[in-house]
Amino acid sequence: MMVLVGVLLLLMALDFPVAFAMTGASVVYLLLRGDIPLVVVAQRVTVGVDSFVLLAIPFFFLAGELMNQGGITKRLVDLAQAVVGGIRGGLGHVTVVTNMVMAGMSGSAVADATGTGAVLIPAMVEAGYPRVFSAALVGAASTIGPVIPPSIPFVIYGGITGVSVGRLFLGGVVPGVLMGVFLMGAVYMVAKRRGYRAEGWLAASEALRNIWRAIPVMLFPVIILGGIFSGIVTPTEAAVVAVVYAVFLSGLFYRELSLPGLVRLLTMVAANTARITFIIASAGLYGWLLAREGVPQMFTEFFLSISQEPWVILLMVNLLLLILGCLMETTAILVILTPVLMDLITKVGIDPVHFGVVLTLNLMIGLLTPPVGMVLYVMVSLAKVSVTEFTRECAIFMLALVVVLGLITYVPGLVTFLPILVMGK
Amino acid sequence: MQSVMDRVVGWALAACLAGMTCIVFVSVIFRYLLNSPLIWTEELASLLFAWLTFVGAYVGFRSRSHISIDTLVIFLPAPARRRLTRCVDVGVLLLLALFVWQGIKLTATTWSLEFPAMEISRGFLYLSFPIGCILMAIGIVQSWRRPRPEAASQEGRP
Repeated sequence: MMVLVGVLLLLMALDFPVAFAMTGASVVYLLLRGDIPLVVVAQRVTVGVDSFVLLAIPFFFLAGELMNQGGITKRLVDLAQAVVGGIRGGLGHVTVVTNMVMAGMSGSAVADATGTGAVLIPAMVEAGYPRVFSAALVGAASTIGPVIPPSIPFVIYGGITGVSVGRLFLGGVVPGVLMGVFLMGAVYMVAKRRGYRAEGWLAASEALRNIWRAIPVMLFPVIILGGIFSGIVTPTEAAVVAVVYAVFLSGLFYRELSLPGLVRLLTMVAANTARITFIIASAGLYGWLLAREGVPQMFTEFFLSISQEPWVILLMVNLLLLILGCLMETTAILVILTPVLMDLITKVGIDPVHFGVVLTLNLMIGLLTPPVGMVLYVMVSLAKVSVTEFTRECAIFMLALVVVLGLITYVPGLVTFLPILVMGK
Repeated sequence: MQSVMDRVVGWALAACLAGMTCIVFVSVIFRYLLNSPLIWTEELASLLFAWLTFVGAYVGFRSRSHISIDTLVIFLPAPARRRLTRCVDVGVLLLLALFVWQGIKLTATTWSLEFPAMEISRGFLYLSFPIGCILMAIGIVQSWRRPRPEAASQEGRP
């Protein structure tokens, strides 16, 4: 066990690609043991991605990117403007609502941050909001993306644990809406303190036109979520239907997507998918060896020796994840820790659907924190602000998200109510 | 600077993803509109997914945009960091050599097995790993000779 964990940490600290830190640690371990043939390396890694559930990952990426390139994101911003633009801190609320609606179609926070940031940051700066405020808000709001379904982290979690992805998707709805509401509260407070004005409501005719033009876009969540929850399609199939609809909408309806553009997009999404799924594949090997060594059980015993209370365990796990979230890449934490934590979670009787949503929301906060936060870096480079400025400005939004994390951790009903209502016990 | 190989891999990846999309979409159509489910679609789409993963990893190495944790090494002075990066590359190449060897061995031993629905050899699945590893090794060596500073976009992480 020391070899597996120690070599992994060493290789990761040396800046090895995460996938090779995992396979490398596994190879060292196998060589030292000598009684397991090395061919399991190839076998476990390959089987790690031979999964129909994980197939949803590239499709949800693709749907998100198609929306960004195909002019769909722009229509969403117009829609949000018509609905919440008149509240104090107007465009700030527009940012949050756009991301909430976008979250119902795309499964990736980084895709959401890039797409909405490209449209909203210039608009906010032009309306007189500080650049760093706009960037921090878009970043924070984009973390709603993977909590409101569809969601790539839920697909990965479901793929690893066997928990129903449909249930996880339903479990994310209320927490995602709460994130939006709390962020809007934070925007209102900042706007009031600094004296940001409201931009004023749109004229009724313009508001109605914006809503009318966004109706084809609003069919997205209906298709995706309706399809999954009614049991007509699996999450993977729903993702494909969403892709086909996005191609239709942006290519034929809004006419903002060309064939060469589509090919470029496919290549980019494929390469970005591979970066994540290669890590998942490697975790297939690494997680299998960890389980053979009984590491999850040791981990469980350690936690249980501190406390048997589920609420203390959840507190410790949340703190551990928040700290790791600052230091490590989200996917890496998700694939390495999920199998280890599952043993603990089931032993103390925590619902795995509830835990999956808590875990995901927690890791999304990690996307905003330095030194390792993907959304942080996207926003910093997109808005050309410094990491320190961004972090200071983002603190109040992160605080709002941590409050939601605490709420859903200790009121499990917020997560589990919808899955039980729709899909039964 | 795009080499012929970058372009070929790019097209192959795009075709792979487009193929997966079409296959799954067609399977939905056949099941619901035509009421005659196709049994081979899940297997074929998953097979393409494995190829997409391992061949796509080439792009990550080629443009040096794979996911790694540089929290500590950013504190090193630039020359030391360059040397470390080269050492890590060599370490990864050694692992890749091992994976190619074991991957080919696995492909050979599983060649006689078949996918239940597609009735083609399961070796086609296991072959994706060694082939992908060969491409990744080429990607690393290419990135030494022709560094591409404009790393692929950071987009697309959950």
